Amino acid sequence: MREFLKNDPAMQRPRVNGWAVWDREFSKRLGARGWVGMNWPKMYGGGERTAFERLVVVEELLAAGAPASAHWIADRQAGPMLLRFGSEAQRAELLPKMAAGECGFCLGMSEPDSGSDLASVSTRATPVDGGWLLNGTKLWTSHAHRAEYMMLFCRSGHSGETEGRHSGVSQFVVDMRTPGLEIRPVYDQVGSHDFNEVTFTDAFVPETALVGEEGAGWRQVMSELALERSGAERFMSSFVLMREAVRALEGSTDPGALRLVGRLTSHLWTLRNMSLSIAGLLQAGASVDLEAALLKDLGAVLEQEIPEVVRLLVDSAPMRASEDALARLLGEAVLLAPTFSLRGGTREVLRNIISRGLGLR
Amino acid sequence: MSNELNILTDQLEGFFQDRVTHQTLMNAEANGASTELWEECEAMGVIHPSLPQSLGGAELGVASERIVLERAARAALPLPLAETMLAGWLLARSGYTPPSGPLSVAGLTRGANLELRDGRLFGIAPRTHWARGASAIVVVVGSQLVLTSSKAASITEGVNLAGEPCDDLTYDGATPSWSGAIDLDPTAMMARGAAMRASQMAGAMSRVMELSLGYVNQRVQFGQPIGRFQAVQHPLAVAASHAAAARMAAIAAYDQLERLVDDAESFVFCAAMAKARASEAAGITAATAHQVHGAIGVTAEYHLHPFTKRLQDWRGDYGSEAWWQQYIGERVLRRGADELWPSITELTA
Ligand SMILES: Cc1cc2nc3c(=O)[nH]c(=O)nc-3n(C[C@H](O)[C@H](O)[C@H](O)COP(=O)(O)OP(=O)(O)OC[C@H]3O[C@@H](n4cnc5c(N)ncnc54)[C@H](O)[C@@H]3O)c2cc1C
Repeated sequence: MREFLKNDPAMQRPRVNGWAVWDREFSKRLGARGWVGMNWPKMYGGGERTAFERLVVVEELLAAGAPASAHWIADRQAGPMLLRFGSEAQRAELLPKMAAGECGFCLGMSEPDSGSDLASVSTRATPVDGGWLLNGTKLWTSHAHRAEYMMLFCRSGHSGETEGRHSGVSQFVVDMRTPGLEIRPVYDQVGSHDFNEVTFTDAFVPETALVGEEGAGWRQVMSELALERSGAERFMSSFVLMREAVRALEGSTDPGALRLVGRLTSHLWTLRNMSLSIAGLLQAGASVDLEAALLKDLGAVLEQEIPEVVRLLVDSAPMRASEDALARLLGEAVLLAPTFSLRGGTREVLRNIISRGLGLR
Repeated sequence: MSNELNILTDQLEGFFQDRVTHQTLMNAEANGASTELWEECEAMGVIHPSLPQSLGGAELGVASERIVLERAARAALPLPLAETMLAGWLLARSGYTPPSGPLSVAGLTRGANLELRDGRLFGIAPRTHWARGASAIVVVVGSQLVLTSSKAASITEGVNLAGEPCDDLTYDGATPSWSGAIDLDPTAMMARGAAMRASQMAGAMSRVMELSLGYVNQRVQFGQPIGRFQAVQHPLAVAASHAAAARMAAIAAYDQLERLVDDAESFVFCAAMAKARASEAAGITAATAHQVHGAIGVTAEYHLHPFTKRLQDWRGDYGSEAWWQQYIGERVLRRGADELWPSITELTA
């Protein structure tokens, strides 16, 4: 794996937060080598490898700063969700393409009025003959304009029916070419187009689009979030910058600098151990909501500390584009850092989950 | 975990909770270690849990040592358990059966300066834990171990932050009762102690978290338990995540203990990371616990300070944060940037 990454053309420029950078051809090359959907059954295009082997591949991609988002969501959560809750037809049709790196997913959870309070979503699937009509707006949908499918979380059933916050919600696999589905770009602060607003206007999806049980979407989405929060990408997004700073410091004997490097390394090693231990729990079928929240909270703190510490370690000025790898990676990290404690559940939401897990309410 | 270990863990929890009360701790601060309590621990078989039976141990595997230390620290057991285990392990490693009774280790602390001249011991060993009551002291002189009685040194009594004996020793030509070589350098011996302290800190932090959670759920201000305030909840959530990280780090260091056989440097690196990480967590957890307790938390009669004082003391033992962080940083820079990730992955179980 390390050898492959050293020689792959996409690796000329390692990136901070590479796992959120889309490169379809790179994902296909990984798929061809069996490194996507590695632990899925062979009949669905998987490799029947262990969850641990998959984790090693994931970590190597992160350590290299590889552009891996074209298959990341499929590999991390959409695939496992279909294996767990999906229909046989969904699995047979989608998983082999996902494992080949040819079929990308985006996540339709957040809305203009529903961010942290995910249970308040108002996008609705109304039952009609042979399927569902979708209406509503999703926001911040990363890579909606590049992905083939969306994993949609929304209310289901007729509006006005009595429903609690956590009932009457469902998940759907939505083809991004569905008529009535419109994608508008939302440019971010560096001018990139990754986010989107996705609107549904009487968009028809067939019955077969429903994932799992109608109305059981809350339970499903919670198990999806455990997958979304517990991976190594929750503490390794800035790793390539740390490595570049170590390169710049090689040969230094300054005790202050050595200590800062030592401290970050002790955090990295500890988080890696935590993430392996969560992977073991997940494999054993345990619920890891609390553990995943702990890991993601600590991990985002490390990811955000790295650029701060690097500023103390190396006399460098962050740049958005530069021949100097350290200046460029520092620039990327500084501009991306605010998102690390927002996406996938904000720091405050995670701490609320942890507090509840501790018995505080 | 083996069944034997599970049973031991449960027994220990009950035993320590029962036998180490606030009063026990206050008595120990005033009068030193209790012989009676020590004998009860001996009867439980927890003094040398991982040593082979032929050397007087319980032969329960290396994990048992970590578990005993963690459980004892959850009760702030005021006895030299870690020191005795370390001394016993060092002696066993150089082929000598540890003597019975509480032991101490000298010569691994900051400022130690010892030498053997014609088989006699000279020099100073500052901050030696539990020295005055030890039945024997293992003195580390480079890669030589020397066994002396506590009477062989002139002792200037001192205490650590938690009021436990922590004495300065001066040797002026003492004759050892035994001496022998050990195939480890002093840094590796320190790392062995560092892994122990990391486990003890994890135990004390778990207790400090329980005390804090219990308190905020019961203390009422502004008409409700203070644990309902998000401003109280979130620091506790942060402290809990640090406590979890510390425990993980201690476990991960013990997972690598076997490397001491033929790759001591790798074990030292892991113990260094565990000690540095746990020490940082200890500071955050202790501070948060005091903050949510308000003034009652710093009173003599409230059962929080035995734990937070030990945490703050242990941070400086067997290598401070500054010491180990520097050690880790040196190794990372020496191996170079491209070895950073591989050296992390090769040292996780
Ligand atoms: C880079 C990036 C990519 C993303 N990609 C996707 C995607 O692909 N699909 C998708 O569905 N979403 C995506 N999101 C959206 C993300 O899930 C939301 O940003 C997140 O859930 C927070 O919602 P919000 O932005 O509406 O903030 P809000 O929920 O409005 O929060 C604003 C602030 O208030 C705080 N707050 C809110 N509630 C509480 C509370 N109860 N207690 C304490 N503080 C609180 C928050 O922590 C935050 O600090 C992405 C976000 C980012 C940054």
